[in-house]
Amino acid sequence: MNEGIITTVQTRGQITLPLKLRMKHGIGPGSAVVVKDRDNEITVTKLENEANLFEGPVMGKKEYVQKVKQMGGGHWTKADDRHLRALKGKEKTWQIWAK
Amino acid sequence: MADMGEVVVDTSVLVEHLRLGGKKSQYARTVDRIEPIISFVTVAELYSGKSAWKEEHAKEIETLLAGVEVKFAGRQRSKEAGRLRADRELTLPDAFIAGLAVELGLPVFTLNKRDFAKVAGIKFYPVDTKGKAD
Repeated sequence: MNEGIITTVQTRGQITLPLKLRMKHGIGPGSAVVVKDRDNEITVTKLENEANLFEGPVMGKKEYVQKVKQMGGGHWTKADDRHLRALKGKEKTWQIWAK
Repeated sequence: MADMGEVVVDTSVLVEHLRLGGKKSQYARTVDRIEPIISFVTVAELYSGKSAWKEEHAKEIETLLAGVEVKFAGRQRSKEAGRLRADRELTLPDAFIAGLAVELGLPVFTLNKRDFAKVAGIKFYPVDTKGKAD
C-alpha cells in the first residue's frame, strides 16, 4: 500500500508537491492541476493536454439535486422530436462544393 | 449515498429528464449518486430543440446544465471523434461523447446503449428500468 508523503500546509493554504511526484508525473511550473473535494480526501490530478478544456458546475450539489428532482416535465416536446427528425439527412457531405 | 463517481451523461438522459421531469426521469433518480460530466456537444443538442428558445423552457435547461461539468474538445478530441465516426459510423455528437468517455475511462450514462455499443473500451453506467435507482 502507498502510504503517501507528508507535506505541510503553509499559512495561505499552500502546499509543496514533493519533487519525486512532480518528476514522476511531469508536473512543472505552469502545469495545471485539478483539486477535487472527495468525501474523505482531497485529490490533485494533473491536467493532460485537452483535459483542461472544461467548465465546472456553477451550482452547489445539494441545491442542484433538489432542483433536478423538483423540475416539472414538458420541456422537451414532440415538436422538438419532429424538428430534429426533419433535420436528418441535411448534414453536409461537401459533394456539391467539390463540383 | 454511493461512490459519487464521475459519469459521462449522454444527451438522451437529459432529454428524457426535460421530457418527463424530476418525478419520473432516470437522471433525477441518479443525480445524487454521480458527478455528472457532459460533452460540449450535449449542450448544443439540448439547445437544438425549438422549445429551448421559449422562455418557459429556457430557465429549466439552464438549471439542468448548472450542476454538470462541461468538457470541450480541441484538436485531439476532435480527431478521435472523427476516427470513431469513420470506423464505427457513429453520429458526430455520439462520437464526441463516446470518445470523451473512453479517453477519461468513465462510464456513459445513456438510454441508447446501442448507439455506443460498437465503440471499443466503452463502459456503461447501469440504467434502472424498474423505476428506482440500482
